[in-house]
Amino acid sequence: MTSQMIVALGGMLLSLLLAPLLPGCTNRVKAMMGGRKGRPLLQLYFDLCRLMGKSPVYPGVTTYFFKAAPTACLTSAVAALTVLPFWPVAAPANFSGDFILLAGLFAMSRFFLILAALDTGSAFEGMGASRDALFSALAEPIFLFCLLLLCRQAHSLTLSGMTTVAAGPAAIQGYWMFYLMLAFALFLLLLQENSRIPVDDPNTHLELTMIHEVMILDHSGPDLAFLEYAAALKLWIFSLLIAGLVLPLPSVPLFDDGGSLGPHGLAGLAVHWGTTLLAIFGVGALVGLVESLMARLRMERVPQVLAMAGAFAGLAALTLWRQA
Amino acid sequence: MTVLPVAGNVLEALLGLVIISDFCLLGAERSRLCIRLVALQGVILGFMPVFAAGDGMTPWLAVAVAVFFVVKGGMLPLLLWHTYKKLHPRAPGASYLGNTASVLLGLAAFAFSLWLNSRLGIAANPLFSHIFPTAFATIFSGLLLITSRRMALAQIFGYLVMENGIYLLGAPMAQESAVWLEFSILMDILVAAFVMGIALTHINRAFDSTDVECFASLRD
Repeated sequence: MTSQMIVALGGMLLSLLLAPLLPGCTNRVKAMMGGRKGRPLLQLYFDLCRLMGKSPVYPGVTTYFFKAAPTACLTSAVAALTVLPFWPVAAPANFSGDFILLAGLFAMSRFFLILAALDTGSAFEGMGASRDALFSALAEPIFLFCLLLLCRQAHSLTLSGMTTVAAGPAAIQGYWMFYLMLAFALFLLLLQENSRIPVDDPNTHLELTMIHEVMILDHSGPDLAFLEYAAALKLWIFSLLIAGLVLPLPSVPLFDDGGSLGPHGLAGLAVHWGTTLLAIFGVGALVGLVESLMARLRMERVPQVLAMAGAFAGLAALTLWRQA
Repeated sequence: MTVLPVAGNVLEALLGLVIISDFCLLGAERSRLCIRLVALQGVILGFMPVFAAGDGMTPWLAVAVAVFFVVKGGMLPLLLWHTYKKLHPRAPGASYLGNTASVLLGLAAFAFSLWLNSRLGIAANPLFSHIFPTAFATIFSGLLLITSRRMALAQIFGYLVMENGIYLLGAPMAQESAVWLEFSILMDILVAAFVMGIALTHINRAFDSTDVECFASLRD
């Protein structure tokens, strides 16, 4: 195994370990904005441990799909991490067209979650599934369009090549407006895909207004832990994607001619990873800020948020055309 | 006039923020959010003379930047805020077109301004051709806000956004003498916003609404 692969796997491991901290960071910002002390930063870790220690309870009417959904969601999220680069090295699984796999994995996770929600036969869960299917159908083309724009700009068909991972800040010279628009579009998609305010409220327990939370109402024990962890990983993946787009860091050669990581490489790696983590938690804090300043939108207004995301992706396309 | 690489990147990012605020204004309904966005736009535009001056920054120009910054980013939004507090608008400032259509029209305006920029071929002033698409799209966004919004307060936002676009268009040519002209226009705008605020308060007191739709149905 080469040093580059070890570093890439190290980045992935870091993501798996730190992902539950991101919702904690968002909640802490919300609490601070509201003048409260708030939940502990590690609350999700405690919740996951507690849930893992319980036995699952399954509704009598459910079938295999209900039991399979949590595992499918978690597996898709972990698989998505393998194609996403953790700055500054390429992703562990790095191949042409991997960005389509990323979108496909999100779709697969959603498909299983919707099936599980419909499997319960509950009217509320069916309503949540219907909403999720509708908004995702609107969001997916925009997400793919954003990724295609990145392909066009970076002249690369891999996620590692698309983000600044390989080219460093030289790639974004003169393209600041493009990356800003794209990051803004992706941020709006992050809010939708992760069911955050103004699209959905992760804290609400009024079934009539929920999207994601209502779909996981009947899950319990380790199954619920899997779903919560998968949701945290998804938020992490979107934050990492946005952070990878707008990080204006000089790229430092980490590996020597023999392909091994020297002492300067180790220091450089520590700086890069530290900055990437700061950027990811910065995105998490921004989500908290938006959630503190905005109210949840009425359900019929949610497509407007997605129209806004589409408009910003369109603006990014226009700015790319201007630069060409 | 050349833009330094670092300054060029900052300018790109600032112009991007102006466009983002334009689109958020077109999509927004809440007056409070609109006032914040107008303030953000004012703060960003306050920096524009710095880029126009390049390395020929003089103390007078620095004072001009400070004044633009205070008036556009501080005084005008404060006046709007004051008016908003007095009006207590009952309904948010809905658009005749619908917000999504407004945003899409804004997108079309930006595409048109990019095309126009390529057709104009202003090579003598690279900064101008750099800023032109954003400025033109901002002017169009302002016009769209004025013509498509029902509430009179939202139309004042449109007036200010349009003025911001005109100011942005003039920024690349702002030499020291031209800055005084910009000053006088800015003072006019300040007075206009002040007068419009007072007029709106009186209209609201007399007719109990600032919805322009209601004015059409006035009878003797």
